[in-house]
Amino acid sequence: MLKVTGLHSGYGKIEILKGVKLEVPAGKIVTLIGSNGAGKTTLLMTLSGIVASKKGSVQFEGYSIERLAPDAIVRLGITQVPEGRRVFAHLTVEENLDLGAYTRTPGKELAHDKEEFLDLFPALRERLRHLAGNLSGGEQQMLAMARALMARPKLLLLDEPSLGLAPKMVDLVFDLIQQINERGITLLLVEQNALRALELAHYAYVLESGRIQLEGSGSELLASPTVIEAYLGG
Amino acid sequence: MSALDIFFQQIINGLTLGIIYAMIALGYTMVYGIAQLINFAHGEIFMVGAYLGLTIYLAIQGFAFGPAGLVILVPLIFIFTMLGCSALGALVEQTAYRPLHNAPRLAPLITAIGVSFLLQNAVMLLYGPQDKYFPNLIPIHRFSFGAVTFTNLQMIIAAAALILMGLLNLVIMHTRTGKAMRALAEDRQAAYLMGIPVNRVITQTFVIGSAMAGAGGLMFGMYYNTINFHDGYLAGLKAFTAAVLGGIGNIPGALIGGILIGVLEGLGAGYLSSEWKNVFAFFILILILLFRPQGLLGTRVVKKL
Ligand SMILES: Nc1ncnc2c1ncn2[C@@H]1O[C@H](COP(=O)(O)OP(=O)(O)O)[C@@H](O)[C@H]1O
Ligand SMILES: [Mg+2]
Repeated sequence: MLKVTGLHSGYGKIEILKGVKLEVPAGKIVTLIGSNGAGKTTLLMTLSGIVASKKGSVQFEGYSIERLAPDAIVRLGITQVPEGRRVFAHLTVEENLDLGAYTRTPGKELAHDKEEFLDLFPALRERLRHLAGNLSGGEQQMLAMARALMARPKLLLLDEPSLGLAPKMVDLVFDLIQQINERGITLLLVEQNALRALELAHYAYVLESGRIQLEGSGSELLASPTVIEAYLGG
Repeated sequence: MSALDIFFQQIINGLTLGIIYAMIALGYTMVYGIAQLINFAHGEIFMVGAYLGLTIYLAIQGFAFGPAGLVILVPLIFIFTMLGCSALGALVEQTAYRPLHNAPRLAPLITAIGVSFLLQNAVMLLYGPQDKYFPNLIPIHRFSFGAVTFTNLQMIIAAAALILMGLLNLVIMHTRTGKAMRALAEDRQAAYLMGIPVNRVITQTFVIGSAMAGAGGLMFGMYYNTINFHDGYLAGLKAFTAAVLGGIGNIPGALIGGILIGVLEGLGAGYLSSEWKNVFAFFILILILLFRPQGLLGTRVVKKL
């Protein structure tokens, strides 16, 4: 579904990604781990068209998307839940959800989807008229995920969804990730919580210093001595 | 006139003026809040609005509307003036600012000065450098309470501003575009990630802000009966002060700032000297920048009007 080859990108003259190669097959959960500053967020932002790619190609369902504007990429079916959630704090929960569906034409189908996602994230239903900024961190993460789903993506990019959440919320988030995938949405998951993310993954990559260092099935990486030492606390 | 009469009279005059400043300040603040850009050519859009309104009036006055026709004529002039200014605003955005998206912050400011000169000179060439008479679009009636008077025109200006600001609030709070504007004001990248076409929303912001400024220009012409191609410069600077005073990027702040500047100017003209009235606005601007650069209400675009 998504095929990235030789991808270079960065900020100004600073090159962060130095030839990333990675694939996300349709219907799967692919996990990307790597230490702080490895370039994971930069990779997702490059895929979403926010950070310009300098070299290499990004193919999505056969289209080259590495030169497309961010809104065009969303229209093609790739949506991102950014690191730090970045809900629109001064807008209501409902307005945030509506903005998630910005690329779609309003109508029955949209209204139906909204109901469906509110069933999936019941905490949001009670708070539709609240300002997003007044939600707890966990609720904001739910909102960020529901907002992204409102675009009906084929591929969902998740950047550290469990970061900074209470343990119970972390469980819930990983449970929801599984449920989203079971609905047929393909996932590229970036996580600090390597253990949980690898348990969930069909396939996984390790990114270090802007390059893929290691790849394999979730269980292969969980058994890899390098991964155990660097990401699973020895 | 007693000191108290002067006070009330100048409050009324200042309010009218303040409403006009607010109409301009709204565009400054929206463009800053949403596009992170100070559109110093905005005052010129206001000035073009005055000339465009006059031109439209001169073009259609011959159709002998009669008194009842005024109810249609005046709104029509407003609508066409606003449409024309919107188109001009969109053109300015696309030609002068869009290409500088990734340029240093100073570049669009310099371009804005260029656009200002261009628009001023275009109007001067078309209409001449001298003051232009702006006829009364409606018969003026005066209402007096003791020594204090106000006119039906002042009420019409206030009513028109109220309607337009109400519509603006409706657009910003309840439409898809309005939500996108507020999202953009808060977090441009996140807005992009939602698939919001950021460039298009920025153009829409210019369109709306320019429509408000155009209506303000028309009000200005109706109120003063003379217009000049220089008028956008001073009014624009005062409206900019109003926007900063209210908290640049903050829509209700622009309204409050505009009215405050207008009233202060009115009082200053009434008690001190009308030659000094222009100094007050800039004195205020310097004071705010020194002591409260975030403005009275803080810099946020999303609060309700
Ligand atoms: N906007 C930016 N401008 C310049 N450098 C940045 C920017 N964002 C991130 N970086 C740098 O890019 C590198 C990779 O960052 P990031 O992609 O956020 O890593 P990760 O998500 O893996 O922690 C870091 O060295 C970081 O300092
Ligand atoms: Mg990151």
